[in-house]
Amino acid sequence: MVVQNRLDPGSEAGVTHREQTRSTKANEYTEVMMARKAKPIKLNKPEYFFNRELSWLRFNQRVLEQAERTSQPLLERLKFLAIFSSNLDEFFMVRVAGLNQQVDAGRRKKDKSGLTPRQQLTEIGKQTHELVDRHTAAVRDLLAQLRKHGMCLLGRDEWTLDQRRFLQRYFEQEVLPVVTPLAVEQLDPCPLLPGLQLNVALTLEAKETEETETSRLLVVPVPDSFPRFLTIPSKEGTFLVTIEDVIADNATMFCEGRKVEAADVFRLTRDADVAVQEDEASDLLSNMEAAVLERRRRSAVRVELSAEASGPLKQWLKTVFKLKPAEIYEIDGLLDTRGFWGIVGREGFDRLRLPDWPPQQPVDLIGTDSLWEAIAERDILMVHPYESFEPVVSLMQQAAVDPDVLAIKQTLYRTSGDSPIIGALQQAAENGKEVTVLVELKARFDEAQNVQWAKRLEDAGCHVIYGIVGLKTHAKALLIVRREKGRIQRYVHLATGNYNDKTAKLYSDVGMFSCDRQLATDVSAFFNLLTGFSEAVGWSKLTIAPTSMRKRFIELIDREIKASSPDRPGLIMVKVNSLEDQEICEALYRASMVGVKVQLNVRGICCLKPGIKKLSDNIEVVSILDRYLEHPRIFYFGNGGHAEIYLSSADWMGRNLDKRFELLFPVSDPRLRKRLKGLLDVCFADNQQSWRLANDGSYQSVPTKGKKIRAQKVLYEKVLAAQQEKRRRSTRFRPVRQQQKK
Amino acid sequence: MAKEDKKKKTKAVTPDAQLLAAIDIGSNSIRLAIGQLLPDGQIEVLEQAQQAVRLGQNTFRRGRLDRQAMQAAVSILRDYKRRLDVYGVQHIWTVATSAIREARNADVFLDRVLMATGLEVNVIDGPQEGRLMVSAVRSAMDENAPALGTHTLITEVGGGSTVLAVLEHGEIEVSQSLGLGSIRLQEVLGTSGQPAMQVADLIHHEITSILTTVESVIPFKNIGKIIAVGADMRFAARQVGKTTKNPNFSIIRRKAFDRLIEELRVLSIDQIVLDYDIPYADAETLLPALLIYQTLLHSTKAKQVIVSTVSMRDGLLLELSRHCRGEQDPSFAREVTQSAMATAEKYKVNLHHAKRVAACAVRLYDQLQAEHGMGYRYRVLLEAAALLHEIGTFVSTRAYHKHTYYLAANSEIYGLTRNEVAIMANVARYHRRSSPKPSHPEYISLSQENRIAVNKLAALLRLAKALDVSDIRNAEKVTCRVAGNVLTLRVPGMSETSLAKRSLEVRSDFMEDVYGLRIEFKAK
Repeated sequence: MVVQNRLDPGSEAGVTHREQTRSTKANEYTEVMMARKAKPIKLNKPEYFFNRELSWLRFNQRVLEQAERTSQPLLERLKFLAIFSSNLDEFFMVRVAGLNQQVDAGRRKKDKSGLTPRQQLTEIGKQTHELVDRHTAAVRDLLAQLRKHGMCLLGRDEWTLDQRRFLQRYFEQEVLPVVTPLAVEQLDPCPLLPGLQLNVALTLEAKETEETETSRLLVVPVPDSFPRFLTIPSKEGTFLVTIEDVIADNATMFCEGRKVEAADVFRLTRDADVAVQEDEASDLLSNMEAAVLERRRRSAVRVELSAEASGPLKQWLKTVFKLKPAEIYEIDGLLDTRGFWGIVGREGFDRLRLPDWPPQQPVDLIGTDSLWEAIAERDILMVHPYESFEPVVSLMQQAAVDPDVLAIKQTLYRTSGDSPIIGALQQAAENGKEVTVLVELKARFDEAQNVQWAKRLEDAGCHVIYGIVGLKTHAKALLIVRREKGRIQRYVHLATGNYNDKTAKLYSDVGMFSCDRQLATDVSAFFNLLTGFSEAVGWSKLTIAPTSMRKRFIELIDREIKASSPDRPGLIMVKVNSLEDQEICEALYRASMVGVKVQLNVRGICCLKPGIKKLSDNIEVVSILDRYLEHPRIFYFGNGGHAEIYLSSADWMGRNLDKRFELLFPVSDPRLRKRLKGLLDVCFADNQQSWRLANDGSYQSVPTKGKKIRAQKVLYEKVLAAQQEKRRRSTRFRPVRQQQKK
Repeated sequence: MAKEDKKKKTKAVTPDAQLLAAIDIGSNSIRLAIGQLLPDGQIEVLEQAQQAVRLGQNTFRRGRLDRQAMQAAVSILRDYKRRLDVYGVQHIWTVATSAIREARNADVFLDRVLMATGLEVNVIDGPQEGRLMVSAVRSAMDENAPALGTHTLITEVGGGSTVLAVLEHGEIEVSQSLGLGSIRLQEVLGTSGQPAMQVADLIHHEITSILTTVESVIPFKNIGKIIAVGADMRFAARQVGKTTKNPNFSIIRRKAFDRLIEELRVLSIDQIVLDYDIPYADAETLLPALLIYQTLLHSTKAKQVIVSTVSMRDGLLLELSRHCRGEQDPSFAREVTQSAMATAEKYKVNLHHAKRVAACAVRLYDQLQAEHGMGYRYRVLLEAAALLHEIGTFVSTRAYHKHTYYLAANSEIYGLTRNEVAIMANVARYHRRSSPKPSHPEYISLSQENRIAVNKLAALLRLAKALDVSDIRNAEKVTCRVAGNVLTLRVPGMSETSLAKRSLEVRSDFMEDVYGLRIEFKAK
C-alpha cells in the first residue's frame, strides 16, 4: 500500500515514544498484560495494520460502487448516493475534525499503521477528492438515466416560462417569508452559518465605490423546512427542481435593484466532535443542549461549492474559514445528495426499485397466542428486518398495561422521536410501574432529539438516567419483571441493534428474547450497575465492556488457539461492523499463525491485514453491502467441537471496548445457535454483494462461481420458507363454540 | 379489557412462590440479595446488589460509627428497601456484623435505619455468621462438588472478623470467630492507604500472632482441606482458579495462589483497580484479606483452596426459606450439641452424667410440650444447658453454678445467637440452689419473654438433675402424665420408699412453682 512507503525512517523510535506516552486506562492495562505475558513475536508492527480512516474511506467507496452497479435498479442506486453523502458528512464532522484538532494541538502520535495525524489528513484529502469526483459523475449519470424513465430533474436553464412563473409564485408565497439574506461583511468575524446546510451565495455586480470584494457577497441560507426537490405540476412525467435553484433564480428580489453577477451554492461542514463537560452529571441535560448549540460555532473542516463559483465567494470562504486548498471541494453538479432520500420512495416508480421485502412475523412466534408464554417456553431469536421488530414493541405495549408487570428497564441509544417504545414506557410509568430508562444523550447527532424524549419520559414518572460519566451506553437491553402464577418471571431482550422501530426496518440485526434465569439476573445487575444502585457483583453469563469484554474476547481466541491442532484446526467466524482494536487484531494473528481458520465478515472499517504470509494467511475478510445495512455482531468459536456463539452490541473497536457500556451474551439454545451458524455460513457464501479484502487494502468483488448467492435474499427467503412450513404444520381447524358467559 | 384485568388480578393473589430478601450490613459494604422460594424448595436469586460503605473503618479505629458512614448506609438501605417494595418482598432479614456489633453508638444507627426504612436490623455475632456460612456452603454441595474429607476448614475473612469452622465428616466440630479482618487489620496497624508492598510483612506478622491464639482449639496442622468463602477469594478464583463440575466451587492450587499474591504485592491500589477491573473499595481490602487466607492455608497441610461462590446472603436466604416452610435446619440441634459437648469436654465435665441429664431433660421437655408450649430452639438450649451445667466445677466446686454461668455465657456455642447463649447460661446456672431472682443482674438483664423461658427450662433441668441419682438407674425413661393440676412422673427403677423419692419431692418445688402443677412421683 502506498501509505506504507511514507513511513519515515524513524518510525521505530516513533513506536517507542508512543508506548511511553500511552495514558488511557486501556493502554496501561495493555502494558501490564504485555509485560506479564512476554510475547515471542512482535505483532504490533505498523506494516501489519491498515489505517482506520483510510479503511473507512474504502468502505464508503464500496457504497459508491453500489451506486455505480448498472445491474441494480436506478432508485436503489440513488439511495447509495445519498448514503455515501451522509456517511462522508459524518466522517468529516467527527473523524477529520478530530484529526484536525490533533494537528492543531501539535500532536504527532502515530497510529498503529504508522501515520501521523497530518499524514492521515493528507491521504484522506487525496482519496476523498477522487471519491467525490466519482460520486459527482455517478450523480450526473444516474440523473440522466432517470430522465429516460420519466423522472426529470430540471436545471435552471431548462425551465419553461410557465414553470419559471410557477416557481416564482412559490418562492414569493412560501420561501420568501422564511429566508434571510445575510451580507457577509456583517457576519464578520464569526459567521454563524450552521454546518451541513446549503447556502445560496449571490455575487452582486461590482460598484466602483465599493472597497472590498466581499462587500459584493450576499448569503441566503436554504431553510431546512422545504423539501429539497420540488415537483412541478405537469401532465406527464415527473419534473423536479431543487430548492436552491428556486432561491437562486429569484435572488434579485433581495438585491435592491443591483444585478446578480453569479448565484452559487456552497455548504460548510463543521467540527461536531463536541466534548461535553461531564463534571456535574446532574447538569448533563443542559450541558448537552448547550453543546448542540455550540456546534454552530465550531471551525469548518470542509466546504463544498459549485464548480463555477465566483472568485469573491471562493476568496471569502478560504479566508474567513481558514480553509486549506485540500479542504475545498468544487463540485460540478448537485451538492449534498442526502436529499435523494426524498425521491427514492416516489410513487409510480416501482419498476426502478427492488421489490419490497415486507418484514415477516418471527418464525419462532408463529402460531403462538401469547408472547409471554412463548418466551417463557424457550429462547426466541429474531433476525431483523427479515423478521419484524414488532414483537419487541408489542411486548412493551402489553407490559405497559399489564397489571402483573412490576418493572421495566431499558437502555435507549438511538430511537425515533415518535417511537411507540417511548410511548409504551411513558404509559407504563403512568400506570405506576417502576420504569427505569437509561437514555444515552451522547448518541452522536441525535443529541437534540434525545434531550426531548428524555424530558418527556421524566415527566411521565420514569426514572431516567442520562448515561454514565465518561462512557456511552451502547448496550441494548430490556428487562421486564412480571408476577405470574404466583412467582416472579423475568423477560429479557438483548440485541445487536437499537430500540428504534424505524432503523429496525433498514438495518439487519439480531435480537433474542429469553427467560433464562442467570441471564435475567445478570441483566438486572447490569441495570443496577448503570443506575448506581449497585457495584458490579460478578456475572454468570454476560460480559461487560469497558471492564472485561476485550479480555474475554482474547480469552476466547486464546482458547481456540489451544484447541486447534493440524488435524482439527480451530474455527473463528465473526460478523461485526468494524474491526479496529489492536489487541484483538494481534490475537487473531496469533490464531492464524497456529492454523485457526478465521473468517471475518466486517462491513466497514477493518484494520487487520489478511493474507500476509506466516501471519494472517488463515484469515479471510469479507464485507457485505446490500439493501439493508449489515449491523449484527455475531461471534462463533469452534471450541474443539463444543461450538459457542455470542451476540453483542459491541464492534471490535477500541471505542466500543474501552469507552462504552456494551454487552456480550452467549446463545445457549442449540436451536438458535444452529440458526445463527447458518446465518454466518450464508454471509460467507455470498457471491453477489460481497467484497474480499486484499492485503494491499483494496477490496475485490467476490466472483460468482456456480450458483448465485445473495445473502440478504437467501435470509429473507429462508424466513418465508420457514414460515410456510410452520403455517402448513400448524394449520388447525378450530370449531366455533358458543362463548361462555362469565 | 377490564374483564381481562380482573381475571389477572385474581390470579395474582394466590402466590405460591415466596419472595425473600437478605441484607447484610458488613464493615466494608452493604449487600442485598433478593430471591424467590419456588414451590419445589429451590431458591431462585433474582437480584444481587452491593454498595461500598466503610462502616468498619471508624468502629475499628475509634469504637464508634461516624456520621457520614451512617448517613451513606441509611441512604443505601433506603434504596434497597424501595427495590424490595417494587417486588413486594414478604420476608426480609437484615443483619449487621462486627462493624455495628462493636460500635458504641450502634443503637443510634439501628434506630435511624428503622425510622428511615422500616428495616429491623438483626445484629449477629461470630458463631451465627459461621453457621450461616456453613449452611450456605452445604446447600451448594452436590455430587459434583469437591468431596469433603476429614478435617475440613471452612473460612470467611470479612472486613472485621474471620470465621473459622472445622468440619469432621461433614459435621461441625469446632467453630471460632476471630477479630481479624481486612479493614480491622489496616485500622489497627494504621496501614490503610499505604502501599501494599510496605505493609504486607507487618500484616503477615499480625495475622500469625492472632492465629496462634486459636491453635489450641483449631488443629490447623491436621486440616487437609480448606473451603474459602468471600468476595476476595472469588476474585482470586477468577484470576487463578480452576472450575469444577459444580459451578458453585472452584479450586486454586497453593502455588498459584502464592503467585497471585506475589503479583498483587507489588501493585498499588490504583494499579489493582486498573489491572483487574474491580471497584476501588474492593481493591483496598484485597491484599490484607488474601494474606489472611494465605496464612491460614500455609498453617494447614492443604495443597489447594476450594473457593465457594456462595455468601452469607445465601445462608440468610436459606434460613428464611426454612422459616417460610416451617422447617428446621436438620443439622442445627446436632451441631449445637456437638459444640456444647466439646466445651464440656474442655472443662473436664463428667460427660456420662451430663449426657444422661441432658437426655432426661429433653425427655421431660418433649412430654410436657403442652405445658410449656415452647419451640424447637428452646429444646436445643435446654440440651446444651444440661450438657454444660457442671462446667463451673472446673474453677471450683464451691458455688460452681455461678462459675458455670460465666463460663457458659462466654463460650462460643456454634449456631447459637448471643441472646440464646445468655438464656442457655442462665438455665445452666439455675440447675441448683437459688431460683431466679430480680436481684440477679444476669437474669434481670434478659427480656421478660426470655426470663420466662429461663424459668421453664431451668425447672426441667433441675428435675432432670434430681432424677439422675445413683439409685435411679433408668431416669431417662421417665414418663409424664398431666391430669388436672397434677403431674404424675413414673420413674422406672425408683423404689417408693427410697431416699431418692424423698429427695425428688424436695427438689421439685421450683418445678411446681413454675408450672403450677403438683408433682407426684410413682415407681413404675
